[in-house]
Amino acid sequence: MPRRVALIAGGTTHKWGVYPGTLRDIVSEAAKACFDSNPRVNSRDIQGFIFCSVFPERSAYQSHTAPWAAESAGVAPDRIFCRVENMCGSGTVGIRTAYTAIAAGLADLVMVLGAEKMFIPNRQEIVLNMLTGVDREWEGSTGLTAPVQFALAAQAHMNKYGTTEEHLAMVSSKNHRNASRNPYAQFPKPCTVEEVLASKPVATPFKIFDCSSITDGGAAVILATEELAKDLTDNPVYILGTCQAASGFNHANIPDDWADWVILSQAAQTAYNMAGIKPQDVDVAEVHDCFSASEIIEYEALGFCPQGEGGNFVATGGSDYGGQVVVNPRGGLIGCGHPLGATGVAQAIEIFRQLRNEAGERQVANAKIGLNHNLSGIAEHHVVIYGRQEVL
Amino acid sequence: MINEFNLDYIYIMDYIPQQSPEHNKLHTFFENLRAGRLTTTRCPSCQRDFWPPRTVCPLCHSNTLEWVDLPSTGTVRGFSIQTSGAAPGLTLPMVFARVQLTDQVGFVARVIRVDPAEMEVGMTVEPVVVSAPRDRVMWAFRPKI
Repeated sequence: MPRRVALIAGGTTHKWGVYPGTLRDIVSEAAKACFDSNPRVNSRDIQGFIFCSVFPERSAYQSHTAPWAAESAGVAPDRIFCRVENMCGSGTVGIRTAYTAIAAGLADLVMVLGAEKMFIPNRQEIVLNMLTGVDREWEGSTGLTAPVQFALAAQAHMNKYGTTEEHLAMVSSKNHRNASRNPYAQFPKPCTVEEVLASKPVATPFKIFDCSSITDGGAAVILATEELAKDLTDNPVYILGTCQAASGFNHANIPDDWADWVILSQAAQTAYNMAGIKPQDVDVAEVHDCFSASEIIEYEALGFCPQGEGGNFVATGGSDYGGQVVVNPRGGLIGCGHPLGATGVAQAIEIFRQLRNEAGERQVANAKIGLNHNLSGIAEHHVVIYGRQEVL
Repeated sequence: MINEFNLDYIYIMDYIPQQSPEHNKLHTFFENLRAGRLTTTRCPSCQRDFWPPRTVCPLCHSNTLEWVDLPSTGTVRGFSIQTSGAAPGLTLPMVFARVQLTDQVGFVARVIRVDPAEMEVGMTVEPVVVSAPRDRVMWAFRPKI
């Protein structure tokens, strides 16, 4: 039997956005925030270290980054250490890597640290760096970047189900409002649906407020065996189920209908089965709103509402406080920014805080089960379901 | 002192594919493109055409693939008009579309020489060759004339 694994600590760098320092500084400050969140954890006891970062070779001119980041974080792993890179989903893939190591008995106490330095002195290089996340030779070479890929999915959903630009703007408005209660959010200012609709066009149907942004930021969590978790915290948050699935890479080869993310549905179902729960059991969810339309399609693929009704779900408050499941209480990628490798880790920290009743004015009342979805493209998805002790 | 070094060409900032035989086994694609032919690879034993072109069949792992011409027209399945955030060397607005060429081959590509307001799902487009830096070529589509 695999061993049970729990989150026992988590923290982010203080303010995401343009960070006045190096990637190494981000790593050090994310580790500090994580250790500060749980004084019972001794940094000398950390046995494993998973570093999640997408392009340090380009943005910090540094490869061989796992031991480099471990040194910067002040840990000396002696069981497992590596860097994971799965583009925008790297942070959650890092948590899954730590989970597998602990569940298998390779290590008992593992830090997962995500960090990205995206703002660099030459702004033209930022777009060039983002081109590396698609099939660079056959797609990136034509200038294709993330907004257009997701815009094509949004258009497919709008054409198939009648989803409107107003529905998209409702997601953005909700997440900006939630971000206004989150101290580290890059965009903590609320905005109305009308303001989203009137914001600068980026790639039809997306306006700038429909989009997550270029962001510097870092986040770190510590995972432990059940036994160790009970020693190190009064409130462990357990991993109940998890799955990851992808189909195709170049957009020529991903499932044909971009309005329905069948790969996410499959990954979510496997994770629900492993956790022994149903979508309706989820109290709070952090999902990958790289663009507003993504969140609408994800409601459906995660089973929060029927196929095609994602627009109506947000319009009727299903994903807001008081609704069926509170989605993106920290403000999502739209409100917090999207420092690629750090995003999945920061999502997990929000679930951790929500399930421990530590989310302050963002707190979802009586949250017991949380779901984290992180993606790396329309057809690459990572899901982790968490629960409090009482739901085991 | 440390001297300024020669930054005339930085390979990792060059997002256009290498196209010569010494750097790319799929150089035939670009030679065909230069001659006005949009082509891809077919696995004769699997009877499957792939995009992007391959050196090895992903189904049977044969390495004896053949070059086939893609049709002279394709159909737009979806599109987006991009007005912010172009890569260096490209100018806004840019139009990108899902272009379906055969029942096996369809991909996302740039549509040029089009009024963005005239884009619509179902329209017919045709391949066009565009020049790229360092004597290279790239593919795009334009509305069928």
